[in-house]
Amino acid sequence: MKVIVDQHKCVASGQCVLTAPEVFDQREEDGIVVLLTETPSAHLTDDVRQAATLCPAQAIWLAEQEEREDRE
Amino acid sequence: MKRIAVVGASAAGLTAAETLRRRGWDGHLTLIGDEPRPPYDRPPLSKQILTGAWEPERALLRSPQDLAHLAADLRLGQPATALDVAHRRVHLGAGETVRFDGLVIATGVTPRRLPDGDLAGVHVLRTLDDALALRAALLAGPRVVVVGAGFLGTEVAAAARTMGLQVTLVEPEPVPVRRPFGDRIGALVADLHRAHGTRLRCGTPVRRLRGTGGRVTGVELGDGATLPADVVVLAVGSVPATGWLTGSGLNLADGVVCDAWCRAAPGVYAAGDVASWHNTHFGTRMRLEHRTNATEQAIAAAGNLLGDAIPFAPVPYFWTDQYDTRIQAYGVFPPDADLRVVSGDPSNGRFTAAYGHRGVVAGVLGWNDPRELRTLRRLVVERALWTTVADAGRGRRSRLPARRPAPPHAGTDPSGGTDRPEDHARTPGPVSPLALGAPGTPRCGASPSGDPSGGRGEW
Amino acid sequence: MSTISAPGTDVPPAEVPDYPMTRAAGRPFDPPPALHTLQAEAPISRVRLWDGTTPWLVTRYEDVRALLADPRISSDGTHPHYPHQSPATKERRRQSRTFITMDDPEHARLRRMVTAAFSIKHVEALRPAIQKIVDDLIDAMLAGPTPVDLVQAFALPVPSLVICALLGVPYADHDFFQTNSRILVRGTTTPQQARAATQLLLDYLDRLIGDKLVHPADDLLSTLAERVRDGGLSRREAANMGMLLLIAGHETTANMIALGTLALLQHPDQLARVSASDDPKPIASAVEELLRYLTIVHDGRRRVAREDIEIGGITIHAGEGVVLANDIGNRDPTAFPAPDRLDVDRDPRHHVAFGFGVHQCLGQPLARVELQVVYSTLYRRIPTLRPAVGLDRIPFKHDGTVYGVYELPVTW
Repeated sequence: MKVIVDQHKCVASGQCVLTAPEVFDQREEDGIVVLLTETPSAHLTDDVRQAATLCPAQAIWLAEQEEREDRE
Repeated sequence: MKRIAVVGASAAGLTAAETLRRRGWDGHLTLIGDEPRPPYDRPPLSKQILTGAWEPERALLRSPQDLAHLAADLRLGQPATALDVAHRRVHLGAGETVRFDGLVIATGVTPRRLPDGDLAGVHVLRTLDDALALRAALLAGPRVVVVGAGFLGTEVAAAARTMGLQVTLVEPEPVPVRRPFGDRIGALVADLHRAHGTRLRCGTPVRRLRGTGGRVTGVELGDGATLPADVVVLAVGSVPATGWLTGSGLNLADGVVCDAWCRAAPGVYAAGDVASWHNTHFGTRMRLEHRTNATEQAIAAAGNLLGDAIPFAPVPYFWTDQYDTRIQAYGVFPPDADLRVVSGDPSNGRFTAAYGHRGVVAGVLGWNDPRELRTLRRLVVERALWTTVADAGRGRRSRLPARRPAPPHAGTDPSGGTDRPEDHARTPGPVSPLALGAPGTPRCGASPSGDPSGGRGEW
Repeated sequence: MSTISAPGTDVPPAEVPDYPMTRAAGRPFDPPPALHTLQAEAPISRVRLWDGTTPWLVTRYEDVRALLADPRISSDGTHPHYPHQSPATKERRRQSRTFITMDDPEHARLRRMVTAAFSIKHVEALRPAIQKIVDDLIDAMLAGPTPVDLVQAFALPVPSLVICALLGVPYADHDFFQTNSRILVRGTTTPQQARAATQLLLDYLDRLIGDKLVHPADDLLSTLAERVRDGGLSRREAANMGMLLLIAGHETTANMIALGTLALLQHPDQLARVSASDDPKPIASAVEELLRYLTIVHDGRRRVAREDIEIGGITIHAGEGVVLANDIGNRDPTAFPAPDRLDVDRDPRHHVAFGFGVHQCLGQPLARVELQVVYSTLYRRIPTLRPAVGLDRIPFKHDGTVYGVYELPVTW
């Protein structure tokens, strides 16, 4: 699983930090998402998925999903 | 509570069942209905279904998936025949029994009939099948007599008239919808019907139905006149469907008699048209045959069955659509209430009115004015003093005429006034404050009941 | 459901129901029954608003969420078909435009100027201060007579003190800004009253920002003043934003505190689960469930379609108004099993009480911390807390754009 974030779309809601603080953080100056690790360990997968679901700006993707969609 | 049975699978029964699930009750749920059809909505029956504007499927309340989601044991087409409160059992027509710990009774009402009501061509309207049969008959027969000018009768008359049929509305009271709304509003409803070409025979009881060869040919009135008819619709009220509860020990004075919590007996609740309960907001017992109440009361009854202990004390809401007019009302409308126009002008077809009873605002009514009516609803909710409405109205003069002079072309003329609504709507009347029971009760038919020409059956 | 086409497409206007609808008597925590009916029978259908317009009302969770995140949906409050909540709201927005009713890139430009203050780290840093505010107010309540109005004694002061500290607004002025805020969220306010209240608040904030230009401090108004100084923001924009933050910062949270307390007191089994726990996790989960269950912004999120949108078998045409009913969306059984049950043990984090999409509530991290502190402290400190009057004597804000209670007499 690879995590991708789009800082341009991010609206700094903080949902990802609440859900998966090991993977996401926020920039000091404007609260925009910062990715702490692109490849979080497996036990965090559910949290990262939840963070992607909860992100109001849909600024978080999981690369495994991307690939699957590409194949369709 | 492990098992709950809901008897009645129309709006109230369905809502009760859904409420139980929405609240997270996951016991064994049985939903029993006497009709084989899945739950459907009744208000469109006398409107869109009758005129053909809707396909019958559109009246269905839920999709098959939604019904499946309910996870209920659906017993459709299986009328309940008896209730054993002590042993917690409902007996079904097929000889089966359904056990329950909690019960919601929502069996609605059945239409009243008249003697000779089994002649071919005589219809009642309660079920979807009734509506489809009536529509088929309306398509075949041009002369329609609707007996009874309450909400149902006036709506059916309007629908049939909209279909281009020759329609006569017969009512023993002097005006239509008199029982719910009183004489003044009734007179306006009469005008509305006349303006659309529906003939009115009010203040005249029906003596009997006439027929030959088992088929209806006309309606004989109390004054001896006979109205020829291909189709007769009986809209003479309904009775609570409590026959199956006889001998159950429940109090069945007028429907299932319940307390303020919609409870008829421990663990036994009732909702919808069949339920009579004490509404603490108005301090009075009521039984409502309104669509909105079916939903709200079912939610309340199911909640109380689950232990809410919340009195069901709504401000009743109901509406009727007739031609292009929508009349909406909040509250109650006792026959001895005072009536005042609050906004608008009845002669322009858009106004609101308030009903005062025992010193407070008991009900408000809107005639094509939903917006203004919504703001007035507050008066009923807050039980506003009647003097506030009466005083506010003092500066302005109500233009709802206390006595309406007969229009130039009275009802004796078969085509009289039917295509010229302005003749009625703009008739200048004497101006007076409104009060029900004032002298000069207007008649719904332009011809007074004593008019000899009214009884000759020429129309 | 496919067998029922939406009203509004082929029926006379009289068929279109009025919106907002009325809650059932005796059921103050549940959305109006008519919304349940629409969700089940006509999930995207026309409703009639106060001004006679007939925008689409969207009632199913998935549709609400999808449309709130849809780039073809606009929040532009100046669009002629934007479905305003009331004449007063329309007037306020005309007078004071904020990023809430703007689209990107303007929206993003303005919003990002203040997002830092609401980052998780920043609001977590405020938690001890919020805890002290809550404890002090409870001390004062316990020292005073009973019954006491929980709204005035507790629910309103907590978020007001917090937002004042965050913005740099003197709390001493709380009567002034609370009164004028209340006018703006009340449903019965006339456009004239709204205009006057808006002007008073704008003048007030403009004065404060003027002060901050001269005497900057470590607060959010000073940040805005700095933007004014560097030309990133006009003085008017700064005042508009300050007013938005001040109102949104106290009015909504105050209602959640009072209404949430009442809801918990009415559900003793759920209250027991909350007060039994010192663990922050169940408390956080209870906050989310109360947000879902109560959804106090109860007259829908307002939008307008920028392009034609096909959804649920309906075409919403470009330029048509759309109301996204997040209150009934949060009671959709397909998203929340047994949705009418208050269940603090469920995981309802996907609720749309704060909205969804790029406009999702800016202050939600702060609101969460405030509510977590309140709910974890109030019942622990006052275990016998109870309403001093019956539910039928409590005045609910049926007419307001934010739902809640006008007052909540409590005793212990």
